[in-house]
Amino acid sequence: MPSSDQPPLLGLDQVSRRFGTRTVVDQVTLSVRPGEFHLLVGPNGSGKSTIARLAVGLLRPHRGSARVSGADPRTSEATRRLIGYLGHESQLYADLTPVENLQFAARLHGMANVDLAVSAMLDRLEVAAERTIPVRRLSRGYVQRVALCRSLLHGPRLLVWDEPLTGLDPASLDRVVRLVESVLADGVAVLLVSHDLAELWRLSGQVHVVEQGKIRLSSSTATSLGELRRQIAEVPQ
Amino acid sequence: MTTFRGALVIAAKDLRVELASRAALTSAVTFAVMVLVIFNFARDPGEVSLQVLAPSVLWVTSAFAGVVTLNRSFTMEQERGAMEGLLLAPVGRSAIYFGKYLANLAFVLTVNAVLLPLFVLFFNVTIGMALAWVAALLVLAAAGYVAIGTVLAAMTVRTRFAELMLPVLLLAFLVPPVLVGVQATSRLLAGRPAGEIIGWVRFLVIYDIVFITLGWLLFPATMDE
Repeated sequence: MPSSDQPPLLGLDQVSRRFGTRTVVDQVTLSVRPGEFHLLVGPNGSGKSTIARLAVGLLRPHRGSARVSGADPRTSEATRRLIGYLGHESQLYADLTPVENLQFAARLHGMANVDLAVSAMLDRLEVAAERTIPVRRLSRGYVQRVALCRSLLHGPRLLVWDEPLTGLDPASLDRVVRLVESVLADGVAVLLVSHDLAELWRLSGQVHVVEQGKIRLSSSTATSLGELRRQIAEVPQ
Repeated sequence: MTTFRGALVIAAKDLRVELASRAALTSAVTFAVMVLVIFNFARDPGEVSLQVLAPSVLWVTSAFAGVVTLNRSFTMEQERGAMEGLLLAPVGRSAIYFGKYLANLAFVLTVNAVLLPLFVLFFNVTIGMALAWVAALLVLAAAGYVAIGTVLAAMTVRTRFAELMLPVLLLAFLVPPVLVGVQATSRLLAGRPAGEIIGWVRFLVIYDIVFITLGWLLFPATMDE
């Protein structure tokens, strides 16, 4: 359960990032505590994915700091163990099967009982007969499900998912949202980037509207979508 | 997780991917066989003897077949963003480097294991101690150029012309072991005593130590965005 007494699992402090001369993320500050759900929304190119990559240490900030459990994930191996990240790409090897991909991820994280853990995780997202077919031959939806399994397999304490619902059918979409609900109940901190607002609005948490690299507005998912749109319109550019 | 264990996990994964796709080994072995066949049949027997040609053909073929396998090493990580998974894993950059190095070395040695018997067949080389020394030299040379080749492959994979850039950059580092290998192989195949090539062996050992160390130190920088 979220608690404001607990220290943040993810802390972005005045983080800025440039690509060339263009500032893509501009002085973003954000804290995500255990059990909290935060959703980044905004137009294409607003900097949401870059914020997610800065949060997990895949990008280095030009200014400010990104900390996971108080440490820099770029330099701390123990801290990287706390992170479950899924970006725009699946991070899977196309020539390996879902089982082989997940076995590799499990071994890389030093997990015990690899086969059992992999099987349980694939069961959780209902990847059945497809688990022994090379990823290259799977449909987009199944690849996305396996990719989600990969990011969850090692029991991360911080989930950062960028467009996790892409390519999923309505039943899978519902399954993933329920999965997020269950990990939140276990005290995992969740930061999602998504355009699928209607589905994710079921989750209780914070929503941040990102525009031109800045967080323009922070609100709650308790607010109706219509009300949020009205608030966005009122924010000065 | 220790660097050694992390490296083994990554190397085992690369071997598994290669077993499933056979992309690198098939191209490298095909390349090696084609070069041997071309040199064997295109040679004018009256002008160039097999004994003169053989060492150069062996070493150039081995080195360039190695480059073919190195190219695949990091392209598999770029496809579908698998590199992000490696970078976010709780293993150091050294584990990634040594994992890639071990897998690449295994591929290059496999290509050499196919190449050497064909070389014996095409160039009428007597099977004996001299050939064992040649095999040892090929292993020693590969241990060094694969070390620097792994770093260069990681550097070039994000460039637009990765498959062209790697051979061009690696060529400079291939020259010393290939020259040494050709010199030593010529002497060995001419029936000279193994004692004559000890200096070359020492050179290759130093080459290996220098480039494995350099590769280990430089690799983390290639992983930074």
